Amino acid sequence: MNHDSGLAVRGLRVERGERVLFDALSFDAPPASLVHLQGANGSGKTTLLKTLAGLVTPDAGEIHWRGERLTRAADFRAMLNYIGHQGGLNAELDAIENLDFIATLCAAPRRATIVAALKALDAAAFAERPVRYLSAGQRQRVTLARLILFEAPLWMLDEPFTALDHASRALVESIIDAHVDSGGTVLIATHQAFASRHAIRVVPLSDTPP
Amino acid sequence: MNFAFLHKYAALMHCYRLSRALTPWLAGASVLLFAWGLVGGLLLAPADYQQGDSFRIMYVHVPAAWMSMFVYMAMAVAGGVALIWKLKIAEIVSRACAPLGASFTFLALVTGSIWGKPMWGTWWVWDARLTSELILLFLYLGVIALHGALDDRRAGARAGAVLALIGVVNIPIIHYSVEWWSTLHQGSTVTKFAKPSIHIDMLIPLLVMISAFQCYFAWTLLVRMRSEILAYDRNASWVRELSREHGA
Amino acid sequence: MKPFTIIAAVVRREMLRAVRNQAEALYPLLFFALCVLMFPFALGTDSALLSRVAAGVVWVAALLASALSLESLFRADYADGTLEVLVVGGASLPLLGLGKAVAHWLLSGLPVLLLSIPLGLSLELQPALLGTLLATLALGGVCMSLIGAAISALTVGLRGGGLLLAMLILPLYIPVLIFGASATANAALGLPVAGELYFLAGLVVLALTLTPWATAAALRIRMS
Repeated sequence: MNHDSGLAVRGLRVERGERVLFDALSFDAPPASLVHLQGANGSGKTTLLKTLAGLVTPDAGEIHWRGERLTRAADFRAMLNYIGHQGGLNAELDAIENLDFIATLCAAPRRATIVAALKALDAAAFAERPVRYLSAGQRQRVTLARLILFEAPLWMLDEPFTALDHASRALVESIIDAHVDSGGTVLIATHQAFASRHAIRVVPLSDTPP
Repeated sequence: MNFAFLHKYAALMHCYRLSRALTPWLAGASVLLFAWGLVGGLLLAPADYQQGDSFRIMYVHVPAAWMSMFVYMAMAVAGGVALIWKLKIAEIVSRACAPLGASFTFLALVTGSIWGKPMWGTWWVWDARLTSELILLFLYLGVIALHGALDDRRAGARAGAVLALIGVVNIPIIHYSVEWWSTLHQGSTVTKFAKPSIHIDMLIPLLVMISAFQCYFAWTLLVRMRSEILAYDRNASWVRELSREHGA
Repeated sequence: MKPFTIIAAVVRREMLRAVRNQAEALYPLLFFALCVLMFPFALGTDSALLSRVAAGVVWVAALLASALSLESLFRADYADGTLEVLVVGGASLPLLGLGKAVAHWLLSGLPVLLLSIPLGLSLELQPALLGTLLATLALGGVCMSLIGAAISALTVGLRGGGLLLAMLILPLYIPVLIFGASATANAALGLPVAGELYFLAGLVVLALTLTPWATAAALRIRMS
């Protein structure tokens, strides 16, 4: 297991309010790997992803990215593509306006045009309709277009398959596979099962003793 | 600087033990100082030639007002430490200071009002200092509200800390503005609660009372901190042992 | 990313949202007007009395309109997850806060400023005092938007919402109110108002330098 690159988690503990969500959690996510954070609803998957993304400070433990502790990894944010379960789309604006705003403000470099990214997710057809008129599945595809839009080796996805129909789901799975092919790291937190060409490392959360 | 992870459980547990050890002494010291100060101020100090005996409320009002400012600064400093270094103990101090400071402010307002009645015949005057104290009370209440409004205790403490720091910058501005406003509207230059040139016989009980209030604050702060520490560390083994000992 | 580009993008987005949701954009104005109009009902229509209180009433109403319109500044972005994307994505939070404050002033402070002309006159405000009133409202409004952005970020999504925000922010607005309202009072007496205006300008500069960092810290706390 190569600790010098990719993501390394050691002894992570997070308490939220009255509960210890997880304790002594350790795993590795080297380049070109696919990690499945598995657990039922409420098992702390979202909080774990938020902690890995740097939003939540853990109560104990360390997170390393490419050999450096997360707090000191200066350009970590530019290397991360984080898709939370809320989507991040304003209902009154359309897909292009939403993605343009996010791209203007965020640190990760663009590697495709917005239209190309939407096309890759089969969402170009409704790119100029205000998001409030899109179905849940369409919104999810617009959200996931960020994966194509930004150049980022580390992907963290929280329930990415929500509301997707069969065809869209297969499309997203192939996009994830392609990213792992090119050496990227993908962490997926979901209670659903999903398919991949690559070996899936499973990190079960409900089994981690608090 | 990584103090945060250095024996973190031991740090809070040690603070708890330290608090238990210190509070009896602080309680005793407060009682003695209060006794000395109140006897000295209410009975022994000479009556003021202008105000007679009613000035004696100063021995409670002035220390209370002083403490209200001091505790706000303590709350803001602890909050700043909590934000920069993410230390739990700093968050706990900041959280514990807020209701104590608010109480001192309320006491200052009530005693100020009582002082005013015999002097000017009304229960409230829009005096610069009293008005500033009232605004300070609202600042405290805001911090207390924030502490409770967030679900996560630690995030609540940090949010309160941001508000306290915004308040700290604002307090001199508010104070100056209100003083300016007060002179503008009252016209006369008599500042109602002006510090008189104070005689040594009147000064000593005042200093004793300030010390008494400080001891009392330290005492109540440590007591409040104990319950905050238990809440912060509720999942730790030492807390569970403690609750078993007490039959909870 | 140049700072100006970021602030411009934030302002442009708020303007787009306002254009697409015009009813909501008008609420601060309607509230301001209603607030002012309550006073003749409460105080009677005696010209002399109204004239004396006109500037003060306009100021308090502007303050309340500002405080209440702040709740929606970050609310939508918090609810739909945009804030999370921006914080994780390394967006410059101070610039985001600054952009939101500018947008708030353009959508709330500036219209209130313009509306205060007919409303102030309806309260028998002496026309000669309009200049001072507008100058103080302009400076004060910028200050209120800047401080408001920080407190709005601090309270976004909390129970108690708008009222909690108002309770936290009104004490902080008091210096602005004191100098804004008394400037007009001084002008009515023929006294110079430069001092008050300079003080307000000083508050604006102080707010410009400090509040973006407070907003950034607040956003990080709410996102944790």
